[in-house]
Amino acid sequence: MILTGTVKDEANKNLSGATLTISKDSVSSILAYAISKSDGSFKIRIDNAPEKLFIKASYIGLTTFKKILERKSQELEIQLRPSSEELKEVVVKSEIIQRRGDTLSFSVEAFKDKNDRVIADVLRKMPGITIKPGGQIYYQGKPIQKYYIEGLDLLEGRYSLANENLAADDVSKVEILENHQPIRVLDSLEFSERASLNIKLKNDVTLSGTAKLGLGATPLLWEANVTPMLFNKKRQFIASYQSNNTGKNVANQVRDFSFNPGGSTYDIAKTDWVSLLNPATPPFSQDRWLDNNVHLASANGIQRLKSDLDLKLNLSYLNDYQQQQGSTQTTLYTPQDTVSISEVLDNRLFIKNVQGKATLEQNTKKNYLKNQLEFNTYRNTERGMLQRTDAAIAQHLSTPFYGFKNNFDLYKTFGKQLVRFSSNTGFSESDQFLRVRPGQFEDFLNAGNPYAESLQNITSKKLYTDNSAGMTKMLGKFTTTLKLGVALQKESLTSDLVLDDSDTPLGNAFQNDTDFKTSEVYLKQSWRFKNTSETWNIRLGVPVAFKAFDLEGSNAQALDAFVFEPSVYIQHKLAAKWELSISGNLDYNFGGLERLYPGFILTNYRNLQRYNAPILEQVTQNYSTSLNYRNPIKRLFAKASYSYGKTKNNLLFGSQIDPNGTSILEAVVRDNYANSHRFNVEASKYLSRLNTSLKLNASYSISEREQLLNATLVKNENTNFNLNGSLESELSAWLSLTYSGSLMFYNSKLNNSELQQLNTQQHNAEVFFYPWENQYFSLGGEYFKNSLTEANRNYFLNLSYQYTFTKRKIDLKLSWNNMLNTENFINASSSEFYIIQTRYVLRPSQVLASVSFNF
Amino acid sequence: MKYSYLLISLLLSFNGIRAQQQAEVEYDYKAVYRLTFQQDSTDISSIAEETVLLYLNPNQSRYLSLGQQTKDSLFATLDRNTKSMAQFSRIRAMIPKTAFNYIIFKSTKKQQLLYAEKIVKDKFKYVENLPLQSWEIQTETKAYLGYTVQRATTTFAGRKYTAWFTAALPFSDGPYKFGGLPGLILEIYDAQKNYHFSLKGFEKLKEPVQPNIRLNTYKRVTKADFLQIKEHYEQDPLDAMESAGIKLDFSNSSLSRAQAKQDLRASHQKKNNAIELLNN
Repeated sequence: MILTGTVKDEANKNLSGATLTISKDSVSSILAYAISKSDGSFKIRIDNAPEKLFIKASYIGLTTFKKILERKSQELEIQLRPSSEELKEVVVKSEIIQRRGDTLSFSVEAFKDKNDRVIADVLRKMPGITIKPGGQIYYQGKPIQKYYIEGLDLLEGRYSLANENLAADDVSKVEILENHQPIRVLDSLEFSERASLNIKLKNDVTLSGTAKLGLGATPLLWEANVTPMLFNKKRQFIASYQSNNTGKNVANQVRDFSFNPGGSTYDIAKTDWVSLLNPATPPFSQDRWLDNNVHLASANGIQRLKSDLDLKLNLSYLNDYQQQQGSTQTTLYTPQDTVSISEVLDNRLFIKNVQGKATLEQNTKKNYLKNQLEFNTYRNTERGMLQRTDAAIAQHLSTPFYGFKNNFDLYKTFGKQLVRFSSNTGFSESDQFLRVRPGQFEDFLNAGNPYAESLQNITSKKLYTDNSAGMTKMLGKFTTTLKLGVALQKESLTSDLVLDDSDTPLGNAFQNDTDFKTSEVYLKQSWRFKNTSETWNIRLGVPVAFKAFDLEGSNAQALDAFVFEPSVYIQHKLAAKWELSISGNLDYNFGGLERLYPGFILTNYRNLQRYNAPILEQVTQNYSTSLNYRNPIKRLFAKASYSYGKTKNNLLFGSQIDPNGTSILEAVVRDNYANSHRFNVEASKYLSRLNTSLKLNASYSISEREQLLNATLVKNENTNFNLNGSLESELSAWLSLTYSGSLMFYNSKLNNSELQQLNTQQHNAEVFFYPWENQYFSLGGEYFKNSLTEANRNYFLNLSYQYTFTKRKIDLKLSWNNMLNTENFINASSSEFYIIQTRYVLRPSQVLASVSFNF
Repeated sequence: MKYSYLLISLLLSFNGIRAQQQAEVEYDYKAVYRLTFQQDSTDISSIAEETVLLYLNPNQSRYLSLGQQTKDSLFATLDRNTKSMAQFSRIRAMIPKTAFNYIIFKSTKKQQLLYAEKIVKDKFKYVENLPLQSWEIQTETKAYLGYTVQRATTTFAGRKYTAWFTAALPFSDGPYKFGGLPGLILEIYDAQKNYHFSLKGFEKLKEPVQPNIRLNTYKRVTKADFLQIKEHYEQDPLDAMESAGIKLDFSNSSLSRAQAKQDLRASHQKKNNAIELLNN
């Protein structure tokens, strides 16, 4: 039998979604049903219908219609009236409230599998966490802010040391503190988009660590890493000793990932005034060319003095002995002549560095205080033996450096407003020398007579203090930050050039005794705007500053400048697949002491330099625009961008190049402009059927500027065209392939006359096999070529194999680098008016076996 | 001066750009389910549990996981102008992690279902016609949380399901894409119990809630296209992220890009048990 009909409400409107059920009686189960359609109609078919039928029609908020029907097909007109009857409820407490605290915690056991050794291996698998190859940890695409162990921030940004060495077995939980604001006083004021991580250990007192030992040939190679650590709730300690002569960069594990927004522009950076000539380093992994012998020791401790007050000490010592061998062929183009220099280089570098940091941090709800005292010292010396066709030149230099700085930050609330005070002060000194034997620049320095030795002495000092107060405010959809500060800096430079064996003293022109003072009052204001639908994103900076420069010495001068450096960035989503961004900024740049010394300095054996000129003033305008297209369905992405830059300089720098290649640089007052244009197009496409992604990138840039070359004003124009392509393919679960290649065309013009052009190409391919779960192979090849010489071909082949003893948790790794025993890497580079072809002596073919385990 | 003119003209141009408020649907009822599911069909220890929600009114419903719901409502109500940033961050930190990042809207009037999900940076939606299941009603009944529920069975997307519904709650709806019975589905599970939804609560909302989602920002695609995009993301998240403009740097690394890919693929293989095994 068939029942049809319509359901209407009180106002005779058709009701859709009413449920109609048929049963034997009011209590028995449903036999047939229908849901009314949008016109209120329904149709129920009932097979094997009983004598009497019970029909119910229900709709939320309306009374239920109930009727007993005879067994016959019929049409029903049902009208439902409003009802106050409530549906039966089952109330559950919302589970979200039952969650405690701000943390998500992951049980390490759940993510750990048999291959995992250290906590980094487990972290890598947790949802939302990625570890970047350099060791930096990201959560939900953003770098983490803090890496705590049991709530203590022992290593600050250098957390890789713990992450890569703490045994996973010792960790019970990893807590992710989302939107974590490490500074408690900011907690209620400033929103943090970034997360922090807290490692919870299984035991109250944990002793853990890793050890790794590797041996290889030839010559005898070693690699060692011992990293013991001790943790308890109030005191933590990590020490590490690492050593190798395999070219591995041990500095990675002590790399600092800490995030310092709005840091001071003043710092204690090491400036090297003198240098050896180096062959350009090859563009591939360091462990194939770096001839090193490095020892690194580091010790880190933290002690909780009382609640919210921590004292931290970090100390590290690095000792490295590096050898560089190679040769360079330099071609210099001058308006009159082409100068060619050939040099064979043999350099030995001795690097010693001691760094230390003491930090006192108080972090309470009322205020935040952090004082960090840091010192950094280097005792670097370098020796170089250089062969020219006509001469052998010995060089010896020393660039010791020491610097201290103290950074103080205090955050305090005034009513509802938070004000940040910050005070940074630093001092550094460096006493450097360069000895060149036999002496160069005979004509210029010694009336054309040969002499035995020249010695360049330099002492530079720097003292600065930068103090500021700032605050952040929200105004509607805008966020504005304001910072007012005063900075003072004093730099001094004394230098002299001494010729041994010579009777004539070098005059004032080869001495410096210069003081340079910079004072600055600045007000930095920036605005941000983002609308809720995120179609517009705008940033605007309007910093103003008053700067005063005072130079004392033989080039004494003063300069006052009022500087307004606006910047704007606008991003707009045009349509679902299109996005446009535009940016522009204006920058003022004033030369520092490195570009203000009036007496000549011998910076390397064939370069004398001085700036007997006014203070360099540069005004730069930059504009750029880019258009993005993303079609995720077709898996096609493309981007086109254009940027334009224009710089106005008040000084023109000129080189006087001698036929023997020695050059003398001087500055001349003359307004000049440099312009550059850059076009870039890139596209990528994923071919899902082949599991392959393809990427292409083409860029073209053209830049022009004026230059003085042997006292002639020349116009230099460079064009660069680059073409890159890459392919990545996963042929099957056990085999994958990658390829990347690039072509580069460089063209340089001097006064519209073509100089030699340079083309280079580079190809890399790598194959990976995963035959079994605990083993993998990789085989990679590389090829480099440049257009200068046909013989300049570089082929490389590398093989590596890893085997894991799953039960014992021991990794065995075997690698064979430079299988073809290619001795040299030959490369060419060019810039403005010269081309340098370099040959770098590589590490020989070598095999290294290493074993690593945790304790 | 030039720059301040630029600024002013920029600010003025914002007046023209106002988000249009759509006429919002409101839901009066909320059903809370517990979903237990097994992500790796070969590994019984991969069973996990989540809370999922079904918001109802007589004509429409919205289904999503609690984690997704919290995230959405926060992003929708987040007013960065107010000073409640800390509160916001605290609440956001409490968002439960979810394996289900989609929302399903069903409309009885249109007889359609709309599925919406964001993959990396891109938002997609697709439409399916209702009803998706044809049910076989059985006479068997039982008591469940004080409701009398009746058994019904169906086959959907490669799995055989048993559902328990109650006519006492006259919503022809249920969790996920299930519905079409003369009453709300209070419990439903497949034969292997890989996916098991069971009602924990049902209540009338004191204040009706709105969907909190800008569906017009989602791109409409076919279901087949969507599944392809999602498969690609799960197979090769590195490539998918990179093409969404997230830069990954593998130079100077102990972990090569290929190794990272291999790791990700291995973890993807452990998520081999989607709720829909067949897609037609």
